[in-house]
Amino acid sequence: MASDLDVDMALEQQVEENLYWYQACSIDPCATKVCDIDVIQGGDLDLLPVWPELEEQGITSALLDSLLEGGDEQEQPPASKVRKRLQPSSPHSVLEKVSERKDEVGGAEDDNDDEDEDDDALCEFLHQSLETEACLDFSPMNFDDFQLPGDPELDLQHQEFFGCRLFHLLLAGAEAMFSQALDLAKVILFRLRELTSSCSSSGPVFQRLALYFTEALQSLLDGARITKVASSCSMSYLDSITAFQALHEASPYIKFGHYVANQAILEAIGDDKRVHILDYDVTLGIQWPSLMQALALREGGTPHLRITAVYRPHSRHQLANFQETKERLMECAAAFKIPFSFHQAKVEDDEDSKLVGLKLIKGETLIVNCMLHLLHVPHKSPSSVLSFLKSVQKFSPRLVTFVEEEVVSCLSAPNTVDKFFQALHHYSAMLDSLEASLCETTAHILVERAFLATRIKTALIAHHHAHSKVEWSSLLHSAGFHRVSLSRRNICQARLLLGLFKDGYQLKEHHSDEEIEKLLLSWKSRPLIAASAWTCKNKSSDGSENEQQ
Amino acid sequence: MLRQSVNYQLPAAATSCSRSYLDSRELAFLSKEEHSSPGPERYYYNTPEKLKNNTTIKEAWPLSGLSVRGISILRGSNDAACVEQLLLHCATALESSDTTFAQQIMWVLNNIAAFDGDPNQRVAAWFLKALVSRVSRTLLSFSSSPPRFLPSSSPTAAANTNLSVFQDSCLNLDASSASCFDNRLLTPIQLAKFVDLTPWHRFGFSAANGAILEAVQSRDKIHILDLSITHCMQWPTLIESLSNRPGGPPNSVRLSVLTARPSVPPFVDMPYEELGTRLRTFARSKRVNLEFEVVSSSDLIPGLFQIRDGDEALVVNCQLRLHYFPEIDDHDGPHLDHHGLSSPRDEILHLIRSLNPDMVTLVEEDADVTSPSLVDRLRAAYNHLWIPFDLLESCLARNHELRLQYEADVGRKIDNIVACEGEARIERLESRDKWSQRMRFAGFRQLGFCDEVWGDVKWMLEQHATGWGLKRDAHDLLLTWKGHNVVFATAWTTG
Repeated sequence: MASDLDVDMALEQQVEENLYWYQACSIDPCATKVCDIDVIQGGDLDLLPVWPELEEQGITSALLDSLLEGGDEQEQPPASKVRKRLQPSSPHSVLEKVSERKDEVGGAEDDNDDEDEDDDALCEFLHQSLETEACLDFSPMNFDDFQLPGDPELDLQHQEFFGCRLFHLLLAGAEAMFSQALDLAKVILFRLRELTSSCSSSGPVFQRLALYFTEALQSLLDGARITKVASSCSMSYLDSITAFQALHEASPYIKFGHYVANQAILEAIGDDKRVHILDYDVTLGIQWPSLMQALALREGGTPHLRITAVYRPHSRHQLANFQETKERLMECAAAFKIPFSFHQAKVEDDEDSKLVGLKLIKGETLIVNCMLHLLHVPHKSPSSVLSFLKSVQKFSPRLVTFVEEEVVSCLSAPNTVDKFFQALHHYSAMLDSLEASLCETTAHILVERAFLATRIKTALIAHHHAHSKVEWSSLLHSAGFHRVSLSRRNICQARLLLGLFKDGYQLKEHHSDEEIEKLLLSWKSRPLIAASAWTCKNKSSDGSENEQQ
Repeated sequence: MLRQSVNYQLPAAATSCSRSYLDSRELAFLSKEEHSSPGPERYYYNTPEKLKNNTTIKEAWPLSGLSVRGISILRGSNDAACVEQLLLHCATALESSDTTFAQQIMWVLNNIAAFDGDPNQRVAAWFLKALVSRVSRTLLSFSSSPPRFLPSSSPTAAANTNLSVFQDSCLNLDASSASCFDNRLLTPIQLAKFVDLTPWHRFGFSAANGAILEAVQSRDKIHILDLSITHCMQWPTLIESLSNRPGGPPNSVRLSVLTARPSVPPFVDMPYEELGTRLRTFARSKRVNLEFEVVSSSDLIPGLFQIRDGDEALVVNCQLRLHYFPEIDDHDGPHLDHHGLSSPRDEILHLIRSLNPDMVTLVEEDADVTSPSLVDRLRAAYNHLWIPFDLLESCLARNHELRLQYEADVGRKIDNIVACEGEARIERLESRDKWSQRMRFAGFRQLGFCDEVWGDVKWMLEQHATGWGLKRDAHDLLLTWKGHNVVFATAWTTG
């Protein structure tokens, strides 16, 4: 079936015809009565000539249904009923609603636990939610119509319908993509682009989310590679800095990881006289002033601090400037009167496995700092992080601080569409929180443009190409590390930090046997960032004299 | 001195860049542009010229807010000066809206602070708590979201019924971490223990009682108007002294207690009426005929109040109470520039003056926390309120419940001074000079304390720790802790 050009062409033509047909019978959203034209029902789908071929490709009826916007005329609820059902609510609620339906159908209690959910359930869910969606069409023209001033309540309804439509299409697009039905994916994306073209970048969260995910799916379809996407960001350096400042000041995303890590480091080094931190990605070095200040006040006296930054000549980094970072940190250390030196170690391959120029001194406490959650830092593939960690494992670091986006563990769900769905959820929460934190300045849009759009793209691409399940804890275990419990004080500190930001951010602790395995930063109960600490199993050769070529 | 050495101002350009971000109109304009030029990268946009022109890359560097600003750090977390400096840095950062730096210092401070540590750590913990609560209050006032409520199911909230909140030695920010002591009701016995623990209140009682005894020594009818916060704990001693005075007990003692009490600790689980009954019973046992009445401030009208007998001696006793009368924020220099009676604080003094009392005793803490600047206020509060934490170290074990309660009361004061603004800020201690000025302005003349009073107070102090001292400055009597002024007592008369 796969590469028969004629079949493909015919298929595409038919789908487009159907789309055309579907658009022809589109319904005015302001009308209370549904048009008289027969609408395709789920059960009648096999009447369509296109259907068997699609079935062969593994495309289910519900998917087509969502594409074609079918519905049941008899069960069509009157407009007033619809209005009641769809309460005006936050933009985030659109996705929540989709998720609720999904849970109902899939029977899964928790977002993290729905790994058992299979394609059938998802399809059934799509199907069911479409039934309730009513047969309102929001073609671009119609969408523009209700942008006009009118009944605000109606406006909200329309937005919710529009949001549901967008998300169904996104899920359908993702399923088509992941089941290699690229032709269908093309059609769906065409439609999605059409719909999102009317989405304003200053519009509600769900519109922007749809916009970014459509972009991401498109680049996935175009076969983009992570490195290409990461370097394609057209943001100027200055804009990136401005966006970064906004993100750093008004939301806890960056600071949460930094402070949890620093607290763990501070506690791990005790009264050691020489401390060496190997920073996987130093970027601007903003993590370190607070640690320096705390070290300067340490009762056991100030230690000698060395920071080695991993330097990647092949990667184009928007924000990193080694020389400037160095100067800033030197200045800072001088202000706190800390003996300090700053070095770099180079990795020359893409996979971060060969570390060159790392100097270790005997008797020095080695700390490895891995901040993978930073939105402003290009995405790192799990394999490269792992190979980096494996390469430093032999130096027996006292502590490895590890902060990642919690989406990773969500994406470890076996079902690819489910992964996509979790990613939608994750970034929707992230967008929502950014908007809430930065609402006064509209800087959140700048932040999204600068970092999140690219982040979504790279995350999707990475997980599309990742064949194995990515579960950090097992990966780190396999690399020879084991967990270190985070302290009560660390929880207090994190709680204090979150208390300094807008409502909605929460701290969750992940316990196992009295130990605090990791701390989670959540937005409205959705975990977004996870921080944990690790150490090496063999503590025998502590900081042996070693110099690597 | 410290304020001069620290320059927290960001460069103007950097500030405009980091805080004004984008004008919404510009964004609207941009989004219009985007419609006309669709493409895969359409939501990326060009920087508005305004930002481009005003900002250089160096200035926009995020660390510019954190870099060297004359921060001199003292060594060792046990250094009180170091804690004070960190607190002041934090307050300065908050005042200049440098949230990142403020958060950094809070994190560092929180590594030092401990509610159950040494006195320094305890002071740090309570001040840090106040600063954090200030930030969350600011957040609330700026956001349209409803006030934050604590999830009652959270383990910390559940633990708040007992002292286990303090198990986590560091600051546990659940906003309520110390609220278990809020509105804690004491029995009269507990209240007596609380008052007897330190000379903080007893000093004022002794000095005032001594002055009152002297002022009414030949009078047979005595009327005392009591403005205090310690629920009449002062009076048994005076009643006893009156009963034993050389000329025999007076014919009648009338005690009028002003009801409108500020909502500050100590709270007692007994209504005024019952307190009065107990006092009367006690007085009867001492052969003193006591009348007890509760008055509201509306009763304090000349002519209405006090008219009983022309020969009744009126004494007004102000114990650590007057600084709770509101005061207009002092923006325009010395208070006396406000002509007339614009401030409620002067009004109450004039009201007292209009009652034409034989004597007024004024006992207040010697500190000035009225500055509108957070940094100045915090410095003043720190320099005064480290004392209770230090002195408690000398008389109670670190985990003694009474000590934790006492400190929570002080913490409440700190919170009010640091975190509250406007009318909510009720802790408005004023300096000794200011009070003298106000009293003179209201038409009072200061009296000295006789040697007998000095001796009494001295004797009382000997029952307490060695750090306490007594000092005379002109007519004022001063209680000191390790040489620092704590509370002053003054006596005034009309004419």
